[in-house]
Amino acid sequence: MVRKPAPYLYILPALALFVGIILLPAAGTFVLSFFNWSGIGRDIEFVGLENYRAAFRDGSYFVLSLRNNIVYLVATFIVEMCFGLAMALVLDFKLRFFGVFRMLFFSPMVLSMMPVGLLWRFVYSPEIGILNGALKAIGLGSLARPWLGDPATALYAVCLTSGWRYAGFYMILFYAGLQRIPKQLYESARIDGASDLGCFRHVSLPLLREVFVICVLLCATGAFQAFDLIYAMTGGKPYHSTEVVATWLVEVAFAHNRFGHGSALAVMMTVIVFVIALTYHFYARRRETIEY
Amino acid sequence: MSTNWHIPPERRRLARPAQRPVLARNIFLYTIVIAVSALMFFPMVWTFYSSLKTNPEIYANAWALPELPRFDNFAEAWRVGHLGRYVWNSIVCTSTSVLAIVAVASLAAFAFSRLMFRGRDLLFAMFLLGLIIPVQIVLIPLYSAMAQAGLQNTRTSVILPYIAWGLPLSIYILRAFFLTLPSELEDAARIDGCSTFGVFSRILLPLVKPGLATVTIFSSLSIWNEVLLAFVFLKDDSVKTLPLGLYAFYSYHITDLSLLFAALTVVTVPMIALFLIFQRQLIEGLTVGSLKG
Repeated sequence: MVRKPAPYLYILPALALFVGIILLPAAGTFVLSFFNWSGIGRDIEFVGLENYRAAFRDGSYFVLSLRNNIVYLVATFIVEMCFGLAMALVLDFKLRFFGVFRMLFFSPMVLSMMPVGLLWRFVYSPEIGILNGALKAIGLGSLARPWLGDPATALYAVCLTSGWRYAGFYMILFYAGLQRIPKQLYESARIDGASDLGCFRHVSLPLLREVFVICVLLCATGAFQAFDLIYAMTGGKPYHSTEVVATWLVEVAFAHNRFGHGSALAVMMTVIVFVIALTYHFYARRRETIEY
Repeated sequence: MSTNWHIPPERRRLARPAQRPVLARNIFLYTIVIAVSALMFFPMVWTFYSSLKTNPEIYANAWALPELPRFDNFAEAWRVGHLGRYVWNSIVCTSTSVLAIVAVASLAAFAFSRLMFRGRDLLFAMFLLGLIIPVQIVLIPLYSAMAQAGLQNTRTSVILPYIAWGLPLSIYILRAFFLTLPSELEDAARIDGCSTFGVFSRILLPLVKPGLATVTIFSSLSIWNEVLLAFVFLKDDSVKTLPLGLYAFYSYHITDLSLLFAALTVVTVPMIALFLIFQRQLIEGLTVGSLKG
């Protein structure tokens, strides 16, 4: 440890950027959420909590978009967990070529949500979509529909795409979790007469708990900030059935020029993400002492 | 998996039978894996071969393979969609931001791990807070600040937030790497008359190269793929990055499917190829990056 030439110089560039581009604007958003401002000129008016109240009134899609965020969270979580865990368990048998498959399943993670979303618009397309084509081919043609154009299915269609992109990532997390479980535990379970399913139920699952919690955290904080995929696939349409807080915020602020109201939405969204992340933080700290 | 030599003979009966139908099990496992791969990769494969078809061919039968592969589609999509311009914008934004992130973050990480100063832990905790702040919380003030500074529709307007947003995680990762290095290295260099900056740049920095690689990979990929800031700040076609340019292209040419498929292929195939080359570093970088410790 050294004391001499001003250590602050080393953190100064980072600090300047962090304060100037994250902290000050964040404080600005907080202040702005109590004002009405169209974004241009000095015509700014203090309205107190009005921007927050407006979010819960008719004409605002905030409540609907929160609900959609929760649906998105649950649906993507189910797709990603089921697929991720199942594939991790299968690939854990480490047969030949399984390493290659593990790598391939991860590959959608490197793609931007933009091409992913646009590509899946083709998959769901009523004219050329392969999903409808596949349904017709297996005799379920009655289920065929414009998946992204139908308010009943659009959100789930987007969730499936999100699951497609992230499943490989969760597979890697579960796979890494499985590698950390000491092999002796399986051996002693076997000696005690446990079947494959018993081993999974009583050894793997309990010891994957940490991984589960991390996955829940990532899914939850990710879901409440989701923007890219929805923008690429539906833009919140049809009839706001895929509207989420992030898309609604952008529309309020940059299409309706209601900067104050948009700021209030941003503050509420940040509070939600913080609550989720801090809950995890305290949970993790409490469990830190437990080892296996 | 099927050996049970370590089980005492008197208990072997209780254990699973040694000759499990391994072949049947393996066939079952391969079937699952291949079926899932088919489902997962068919959308990409379909995009690729559709990009070699003509529009009438696509509309006539979306599943069919191209009768005569038209590789011209790629060149045309590249030209008509101005993809070169968008790629260039993405390259400029990504490389500038990542260079700045690596430089600024390694300086700060060095200070947070090796130097003693008042408020160090508090400042570090503040940076950690940056790991969970949603971008949306700065969007509006930053937008009006950029407008006032005349930086609207410039690459600078996204590069600055990209750097700031890349810092917390990069500092966190690099600090962990610096902390693994023994302090004797530093002491020895000091005895030989090395300055603090010398210790940083000549002794420690070369030793945290794996950390620099992780930070570079993670930041490059997330900036290359970034949508929200680019969408809000870059409205002019001449400065749009690839994701936004692709979206604009898609909206203009919504019925020209062969061109759109070709553009999607041109954008995704190089990324997959890069992934296959750097898979280990990428998987590690992305996993570490998203776990945030």
